[in-house]
Amino acid sequence: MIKAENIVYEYIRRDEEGNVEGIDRVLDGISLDVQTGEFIAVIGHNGSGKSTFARNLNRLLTPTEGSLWIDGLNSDDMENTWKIRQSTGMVFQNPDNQIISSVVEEDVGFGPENMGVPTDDIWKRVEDALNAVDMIKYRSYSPNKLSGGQKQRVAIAGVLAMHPKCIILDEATAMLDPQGRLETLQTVKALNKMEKITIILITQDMEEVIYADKVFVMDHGKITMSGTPREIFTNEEALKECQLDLPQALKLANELRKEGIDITEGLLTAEELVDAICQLY
Amino acid sequence: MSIILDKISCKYETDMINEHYALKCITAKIEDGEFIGVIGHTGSGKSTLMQILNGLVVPSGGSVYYNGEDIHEKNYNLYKLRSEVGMVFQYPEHQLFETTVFRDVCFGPKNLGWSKKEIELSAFEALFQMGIESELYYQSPFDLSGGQKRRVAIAGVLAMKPKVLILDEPAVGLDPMGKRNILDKIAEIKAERNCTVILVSHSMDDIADYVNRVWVLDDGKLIIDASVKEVFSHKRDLEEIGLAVPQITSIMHMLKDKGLVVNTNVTTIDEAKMEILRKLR
Repeated sequence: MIKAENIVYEYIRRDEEGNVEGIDRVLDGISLDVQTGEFIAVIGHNGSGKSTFARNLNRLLTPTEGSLWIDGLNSDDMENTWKIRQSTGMVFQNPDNQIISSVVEEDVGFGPENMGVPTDDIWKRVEDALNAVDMIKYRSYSPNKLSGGQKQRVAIAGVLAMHPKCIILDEATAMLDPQGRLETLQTVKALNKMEKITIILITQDMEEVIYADKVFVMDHGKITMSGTPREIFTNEEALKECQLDLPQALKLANELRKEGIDITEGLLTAEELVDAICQLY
Repeated sequence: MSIILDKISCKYETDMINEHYALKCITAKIEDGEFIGVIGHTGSGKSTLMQILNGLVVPSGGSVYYNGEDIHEKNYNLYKLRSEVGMVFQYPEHQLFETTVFRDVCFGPKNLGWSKKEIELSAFEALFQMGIESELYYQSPFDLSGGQKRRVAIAGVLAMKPKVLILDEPAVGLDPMGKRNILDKIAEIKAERNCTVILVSHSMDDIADYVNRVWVLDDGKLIIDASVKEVFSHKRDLEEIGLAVPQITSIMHMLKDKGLVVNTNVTTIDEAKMEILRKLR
């Protein structure tokens, strides 16, 4: 689905006359390979280059160096812009940047309408998408009357309605309450399982990483670690160096281990920790 | 010194048939020096309530008393209220605008008509307390990292020396270390300045770690107003309204469900560790 070879992205800072003041190398040689249908999490501290990477995947930005293929399309080629954006939908952190219509259902229908989907089909897609994010009862509301989390769910529905092959969520659950976050993640997970949509979840929330098949840790524009969530979370020190952390359950497991309690290594979820403790009892 | 909310309700989008209430008959009292956490699902009225506290939104029913005075009396000085009740909005870094960090932080106190010396002293103090390194003071705020920008924006509010500090999701979108850093700083400042802090958050883990008293909002109503321990003992009620208990508390519940007789009234990792050790040894 996505193949990146040594991509580099540089932001060029210019002064008022347009002379180059400095170059920030935000992505510094990223290579990765994402298969269709995979659920990928990308984690890293603020400023590590996660969002820049995501914007490259959607051709909002193009790599300064290196090559990037999305769904078999080379992102260097201008001609591919719209094809790439149709196959990879993006949900941003702040829904206000993404919502454009004055009625919820029109906003969700905007994407498919632009793709030339027949009208009846658009309505069905809108309904399915709003159902998937549990916002159907707000279909005739104005988005600016909704709360932050509700708006975010509308934004996700807008992407879903385009039936993309890949959805990139750029910290899209940050503004949601626990239930909303769980629902969104379950929705995303279900889309991944049932429809085989490739998911790229960019997040700061370590609890969300558990859902992924594979995790990439970014630091200073490089991928410093990659592996399954289980592998990533065994290395607490390395994560802390990247200003990240462990999920709560694993922190508790480590604390107990320090006290000499023999808890199995390589746990991932709260359920596994509970089972491990019960076995000792 | 106290804030009293007396039967506050807030109506919006009134047409001939429907009336929506963002807040319904909220009565509460905030004493000096309290650290209150506000939780509720998205759209439960948290942000509206916060804006009522500093007079930005006028309630359609009920009164707000600050130090015994009704803030919506005709001759009340709302200007003074807003300098004493500091508000940090969601994504406060979007409000940065000045050419240097230091000037940006000076903007608030400058508008309060203080002398130059007072303004600069207060700005230095606020930047220092938020842990901004002095070499950043004369840089553009836009060149800082996300976490630094957020801290500068909070310093801008602190520089006005508020007696009550309201923070609407101050840690959203930050990496785990940045988040901890900001919340630790807020707790330190609260202790040093002995001000009242009201923290709105969707993270039950943060609420459990930092505040003393919790308000739970559901559909515009204040349904629970109690200590952290008390609030998080209502696991089922919280889940019904789209919230959750902290991860750690839910692990304790899972242990209990498996037949391990543990105290579930535990909210932090340390407490959980002690409780599990007590059981296992």
